[in-house]
Amino acid sequence: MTFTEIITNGTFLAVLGASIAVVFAGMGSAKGVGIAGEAASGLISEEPDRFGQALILQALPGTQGIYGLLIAFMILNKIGLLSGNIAVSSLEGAALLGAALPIAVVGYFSAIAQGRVSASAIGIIAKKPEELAKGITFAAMVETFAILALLASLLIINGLTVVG
Amino acid sequence: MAKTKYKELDYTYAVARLRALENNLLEANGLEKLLSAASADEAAKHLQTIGWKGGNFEEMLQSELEGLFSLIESLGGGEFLKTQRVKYDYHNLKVLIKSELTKQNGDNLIMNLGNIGADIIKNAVINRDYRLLSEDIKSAIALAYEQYARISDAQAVDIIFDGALFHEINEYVKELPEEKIPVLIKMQIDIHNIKTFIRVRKMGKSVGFIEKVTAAGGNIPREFYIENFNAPDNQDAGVFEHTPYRKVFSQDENLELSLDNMFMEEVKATRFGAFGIAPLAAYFWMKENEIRNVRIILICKNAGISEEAIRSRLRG
Repeated sequence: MTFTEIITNGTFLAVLGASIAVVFAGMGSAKGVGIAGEAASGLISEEPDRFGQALILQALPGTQGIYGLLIAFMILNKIGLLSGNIAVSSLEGAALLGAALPIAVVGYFSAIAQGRVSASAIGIIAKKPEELAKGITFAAMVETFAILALLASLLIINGLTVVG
Repeated sequence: MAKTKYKELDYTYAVARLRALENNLLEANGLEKLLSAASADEAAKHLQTIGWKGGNFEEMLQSELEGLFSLIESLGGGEFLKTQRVKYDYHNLKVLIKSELTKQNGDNLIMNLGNIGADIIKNAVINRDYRLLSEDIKSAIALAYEQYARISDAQAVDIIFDGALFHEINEYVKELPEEKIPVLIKMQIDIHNIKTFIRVRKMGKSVGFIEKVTAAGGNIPREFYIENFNAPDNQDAGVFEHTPYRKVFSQDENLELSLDNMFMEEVKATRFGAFGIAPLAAYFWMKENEIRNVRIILICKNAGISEEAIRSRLRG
């Protein structure tokens, strides 16, 4: 198999799409949850009883990683990799790779941005624990764009017909 | 060693921790409680209940200040602290040189929070061997001895050292990797220069003296103070008409207090960031201001000064 044959192979392109969805959305979430976790640790070292509140805020940037996995699962299902009957043409594989891009790219950046908002929101609960809901709302605003990207990826995958 | 690159996300833990600690700062309400205490001892007892440690006032204030330095140092604010430690080097110098000139023992006023060990400064002053001290310090010492020999005025010695102090702080600021702290330190330099300008004019010194004791690096250039030094008396407000500090001259309050309050307002505006080193600096200045306010309350209460009079001296 030549290099050109590999990179135009439908299965390869679809699997690449599944991988970048998981990798980029996952990296973004790891970074976002990490940023929020550092802030949470700072708060907990002074106010250990706010652990539950801090944990909610820390978990928020983790959703992008889940969305990435979901899209990867759908792509792999679409090409029959999970059932063992792989059938996908080059063009279909390329389209599935394209379908992975929204959640991969938006997931990466939105998770980091959300981690920063969560870290800032931990500053809110450090001063006013009763205002947790407002902090969650700010972080959830960023989530909107991850959900839009997830929706785009989902619609593309659903709309594609893979016949092989 | 190459300087590590400044990343604002490196301070996320620190900022969140300080945000939690900010709740313990004695702001207006806490200070009112101290003010309304029946005596200085009562006020000190109240401080002990909220976690201040130490047997007497000085010990309590000292231990809070030392605690603040070690906290900010441990959270990665070492580079910033260098700019703030300078003033303790100069404090020690002032104490040692003034006690030598006035033949009084000031050892109990020495503070071990400077960039240079207090012992090193002490040995240098006693033995007149300044090799381990900075150029700024060396020239300030020479100028202080010269002035004192001529006019025997301890206030002039203070002003000389304060001028050199801010000059040296300005050198450390150049090493700081971010932008908000230098803006605040520029403001501190301006405030110092304005206070010096007014004091020196009252003292009837020459324009040559103001040139030596104002510090470069502020928003208002040093030339401004030199050019306006001979403006008519009682025209301070006119001199500062076109600077950002004009508003403090229109207030009835004590000028030095208004300038300090103006600085604290800027500090409080900086504290809300969630990233970077600036919130560390803001916390440092807020806590430092709290310790200063507590010191004022304890000392004034001890001296039997009325609540109202003490309140008018509090900053921030």
